[in-house]
Amino acid sequence: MKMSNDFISKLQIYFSYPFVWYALIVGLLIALCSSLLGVTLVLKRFSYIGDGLSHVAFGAMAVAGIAGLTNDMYVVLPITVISAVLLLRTGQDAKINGDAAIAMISVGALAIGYLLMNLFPSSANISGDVCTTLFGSTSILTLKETDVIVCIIMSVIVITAFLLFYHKIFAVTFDESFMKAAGVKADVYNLIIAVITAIIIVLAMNLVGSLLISALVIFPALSAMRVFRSFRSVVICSACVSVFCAGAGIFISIMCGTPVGSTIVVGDIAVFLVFWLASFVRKGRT
Amino acid sequence: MKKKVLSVLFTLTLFMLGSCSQKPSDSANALIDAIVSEAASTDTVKTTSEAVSAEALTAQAHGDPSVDIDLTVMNSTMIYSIIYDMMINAEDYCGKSLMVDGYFDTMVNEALGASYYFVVIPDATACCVQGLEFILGDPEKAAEGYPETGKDIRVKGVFDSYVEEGQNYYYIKADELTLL
Repeated sequence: MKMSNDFISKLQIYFSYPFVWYALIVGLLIALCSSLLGVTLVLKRFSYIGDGLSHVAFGAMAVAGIAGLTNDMYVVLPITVISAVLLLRTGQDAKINGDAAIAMISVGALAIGYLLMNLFPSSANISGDVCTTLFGSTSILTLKETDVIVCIIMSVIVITAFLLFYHKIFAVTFDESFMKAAGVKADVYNLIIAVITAIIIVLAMNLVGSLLISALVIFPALSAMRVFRSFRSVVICSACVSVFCAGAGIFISIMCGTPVGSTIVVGDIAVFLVFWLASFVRKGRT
Repeated sequence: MKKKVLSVLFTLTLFMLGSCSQKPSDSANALIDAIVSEAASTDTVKTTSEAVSAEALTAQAHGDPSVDIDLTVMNSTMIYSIIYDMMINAEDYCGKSLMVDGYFDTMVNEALGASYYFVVIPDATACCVQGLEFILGDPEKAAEGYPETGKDIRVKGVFDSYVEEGQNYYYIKADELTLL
């Protein structure tokens, strides 16, 4: 009883700080948005796009740091969007296929970014900045009110776009060729998916860091696919799993002092194992 | 594959059930008897110790009640985040008392001929650090000198600001400086 009272007291103390609420709001929104796109990206065999684009964003951040910009979003977001469009729109006619293109851009941007940060350091603690960007250990807990407002606006745009174009996104995910043959502009919807993906990746870097973004995108979708079969149910389940794991991960990180990004990803892995086990049990019964 | 997974799970379950059904050894039984008899004979002592342990637990949760923000009882994630928030929203923290652990560091501004003293707080992986400037409020303590650079210290004081060369700087007006 005493332990639970002290736990609640500690909880009250920690949640009296506004940045904790900012972290929860932003974390849940980012988790929701990334899970919605995650299903499409996994089915289109672009699971590793999160990693690639996050490394591009890392390189763009290095450029923004050298340029001395106070708000690196002016550089990071456009460069990431352009990269997403190039990667996701190349399609089947590309000379360099999807996974090779992602790998090329990913490692190239990471190397260039780290080189620039070392040649033109914008702070005294380069390794600290790199570590925070790559792993997102506490960056979600260092958000300002303006960051939260920007994130809310972008999340609303992403969710609205997903809801408005749900049927087209469904069609371009499963049968792009048929869509083109039916006269629907599949390229436009691929472009929309690319732009939304870029926005989500840039936002998600604050939550889990560059290296762990792919987990945030793919694990909820893969977990849902173990149990559900229809696109709609997979999307809904993926969203629920992602939001739950993000909320639990942030909560555990705050109470136990663990890094936020990796705690969330470990939660995603645990849920995936549970769903995987559940699929085994279900197959055994049928 | 399914059979392999089920057999592994079955084996693990057997191990767990087997360990639960293990009979306690004679020495374990003696220990349990000793604990029970000790508990039966120390009711009044237990009440006092319960009260003390309750206070200790409360202090562990809330920290030093004489300060508004006790960072010494928080985990590294919260410490780093709160200090970052203090740097960004410093005005919200001015006038609040706090207590913080870290290591001591100094900086000299040769142009002004001034020395600055910091308590540096690393995060859990020690790759990121935050430093809080502090100034000993008591002139006698300040005259005793500051510890060696790198020594672990605890600083207790009030968060305040000063103006130097037209810029606002925030620091801890330290009432206590303890070597850990």
